Amino acid sequence: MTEYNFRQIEETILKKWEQTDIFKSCEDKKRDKFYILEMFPYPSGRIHMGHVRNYAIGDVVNRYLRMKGKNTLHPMGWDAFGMPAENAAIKSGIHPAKWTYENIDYMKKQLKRLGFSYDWDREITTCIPEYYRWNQWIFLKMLEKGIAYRKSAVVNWCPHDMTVLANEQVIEGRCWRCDTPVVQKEIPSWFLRITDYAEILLDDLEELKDNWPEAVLTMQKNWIGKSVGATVRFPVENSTAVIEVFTTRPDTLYGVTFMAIAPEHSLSLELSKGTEQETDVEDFVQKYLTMSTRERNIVEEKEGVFTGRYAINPLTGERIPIYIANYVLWGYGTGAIMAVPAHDERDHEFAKKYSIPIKPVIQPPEEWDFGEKAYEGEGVLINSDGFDGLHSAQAKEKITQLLEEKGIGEKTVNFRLRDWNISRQRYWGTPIPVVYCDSCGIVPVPEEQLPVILPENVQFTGMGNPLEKNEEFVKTECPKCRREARRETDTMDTFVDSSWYFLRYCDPKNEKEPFSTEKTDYWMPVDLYIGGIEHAVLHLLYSRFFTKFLKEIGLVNVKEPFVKLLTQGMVLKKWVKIEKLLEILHVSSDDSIETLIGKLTFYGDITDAKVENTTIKEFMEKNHLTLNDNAKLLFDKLNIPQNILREFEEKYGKSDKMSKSKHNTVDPDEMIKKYGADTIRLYILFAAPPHSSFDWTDSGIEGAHRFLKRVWNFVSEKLEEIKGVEYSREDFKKSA
Amino acid sequence: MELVNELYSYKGKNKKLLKEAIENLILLLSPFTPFMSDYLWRLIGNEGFTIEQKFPEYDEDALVEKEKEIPVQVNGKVRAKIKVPADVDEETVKTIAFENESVKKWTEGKEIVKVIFIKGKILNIVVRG
Ligand SMILES: [Zn+2]
Ligand SMILES: [Zn+2]
Repeated sequence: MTEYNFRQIEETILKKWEQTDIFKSCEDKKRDKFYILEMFPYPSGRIHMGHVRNYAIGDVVNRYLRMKGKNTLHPMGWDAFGMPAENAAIKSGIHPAKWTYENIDYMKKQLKRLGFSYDWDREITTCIPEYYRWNQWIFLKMLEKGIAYRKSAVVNWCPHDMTVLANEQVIEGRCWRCDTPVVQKEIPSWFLRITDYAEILLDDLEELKDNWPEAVLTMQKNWIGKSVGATVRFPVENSTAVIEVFTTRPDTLYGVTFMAIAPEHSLSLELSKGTEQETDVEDFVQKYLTMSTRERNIVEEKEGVFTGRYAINPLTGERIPIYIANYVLWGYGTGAIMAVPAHDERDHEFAKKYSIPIKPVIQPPEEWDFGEKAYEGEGVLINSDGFDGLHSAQAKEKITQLLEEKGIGEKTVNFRLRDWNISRQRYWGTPIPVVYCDSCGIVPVPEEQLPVILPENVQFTGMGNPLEKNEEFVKTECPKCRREARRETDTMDTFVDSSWYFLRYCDPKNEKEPFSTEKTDYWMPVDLYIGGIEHAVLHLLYSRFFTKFLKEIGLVNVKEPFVKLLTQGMVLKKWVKIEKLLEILHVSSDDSIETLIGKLTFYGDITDAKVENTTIKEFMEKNHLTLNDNAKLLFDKLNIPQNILREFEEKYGKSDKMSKSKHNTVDPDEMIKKYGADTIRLYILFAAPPHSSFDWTDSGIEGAHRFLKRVWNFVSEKLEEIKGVEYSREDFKKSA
Repeated sequence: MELVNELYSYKGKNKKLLKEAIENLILLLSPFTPFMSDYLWRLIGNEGFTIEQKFPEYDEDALVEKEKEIPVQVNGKVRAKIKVPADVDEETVKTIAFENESVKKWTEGKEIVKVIFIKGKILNIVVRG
């Protein structure tokens, strides 16, 4: 009997698979199709266990359905544009293309080695012109239909490097490269009018109800954020200026005691001019404009400044002080609010801090201390003139009606969803196909001139967009008047690439169109889409938006791209901090290394341990370790075998998502070497139901491995007995 | 996993049955462990790949015992384990249980207050006296 030699088995079979085309798929109208898709990865360098789980789930479904007679489509590709490649270029000089393609090569080998049954003939790489030319083509269609447009947008700007920074490149309000404080700057950008689709994107969530996780539907719903209310216009006293607000609570209009506007609001500096508040306002606005968006979101304390000016409540004629406040967000609604401290907790907090009156206009159902807390519920109106005694629901309607009659406001449906800014001032993305001409203005690149190729020859200095400095690229001829013109140097948000890649898989080599409708008619929609919950909002929403747009222009015939969505759970791994280990062992960091090692002898063989004549603290300092580091690192330095730590981890460890910083990762390559791909697959698939997270354990993977050994041994034991045996189903009918 | 245990305990001499069972095992495992499945598939004398084969239908599987062992509790204590068909109905379980010697011992001469059967899991008997 032979041993279970998984390496030899897997390498032999892998070769056999490579020589055949068993994983290929093609349209066959006579058979039922099933399109199974896993979210394609960013080629970051190596596959991690999260990927393995994601793809193993998809693979088992594909293989099973194939065996059940379904005509399946199971493709894979690369979300290949994006920041890490460009950052690598800035840091180490390697070209983003080279970096990306090398990673793809490596990761593709890993995926094959794991036995995933992809139709590699349909592989998509988003950074090749054959793919991104269709991004450009779709963009032009959107431009033609008025869905793409240009307006100014606020970006993070490093004044030292003169460059736009992505949110990820802003670290604690500073530039990731030069540590200069980041400022906000407005620059012209390209937007997609996804807000035109807000209503349908919301309504069609209903169709996905039983097939998408509840959490994802809720997140999308909240992201779209539909609210019904009223727009109200408050005139500014002694001025022609008017402050427009949106409120979902017109029933509280009689309780407005102040107004607040965002620091970015066009009136914020203007209002205070000439008042004694002028310098205070300037300081305040300055402070907030130089903060990054992320930083501002972290500030919890409500803060504001009086502008020295008043607005008039258009219903009551009351004078209301106008403040600038940090909790009013620009780009949300109108960037101004009517504040009702009696019935809104945030307004309440602000009013208390700045001693602004609190005026109740809704009677709470129980006794209420308005000095303590806002009553945010609905109820019967009080202190509201002719509306007293009405219930909130009625009052909302009646008051909105009155606003409309008086011309000072109207019923409004508001969405939280904003238009999608797709402009990125960086190199490694799809060039936006427009040209700027002094005589003709903005001119779309004609379809037959696509693709606008991303030039390879650029310098990565980290300052500005490298494309701007490539004259060969920038200088071009105006497609309309043939005079000299300049190309757009913004590239597209990489979310554009992933918003329609599932359509391209249906027809990946089409050179005449993004895909043929005939092919997508057969394969679409995706029957099962598997990926992480982190994509619950943006990627899935954008894909739904693109699908709806492409349906409108007659390219696809489905309303929704993904029938069933599975958001798989995470692969966690328990780990123990040095601090915890010492605590368990009742050792202090002032004790000696010898004491620590002495204690550990009870847990296993540590005869090879390196004993140093220092305290634990000194040893750690010398080796750049802190109490928050993984105890594994300390064990490494002390030359203590890791298996001793296992017991501590399983008993006392903290479950966390695998991450490099916590040193609690398990490398798929290492596991393949140690146990083989079959064992990893079996373990990962049986460890927990697909949507739940689970702790990766050594005992778990060893259990799976033992099981496979058992299967192997059993079959090889019986091999002689069954060799050459022929049977048919009929044989059993008699005996059974 | 149970199938493997069943197979291990199979002592019969019917080679055809054994071969079919092994093939089914290989095919059942194939979506999870395709390397080993394809390798064994060829090793036992077949051609091609498991993904091209039909996935075994459970109810056609001749070898796997369609019996299940379920515990019988009398007043909360397990007094016996009985073998019953996997998709057994309540009446049959009761009949089999009350014929069991050990169950008899704990129930005979007593008043049966209640019999609760949780399908496929357990049979609970409550007695008085
Ligand atoms: Zn900088
Ligand atoms: Zn021109």
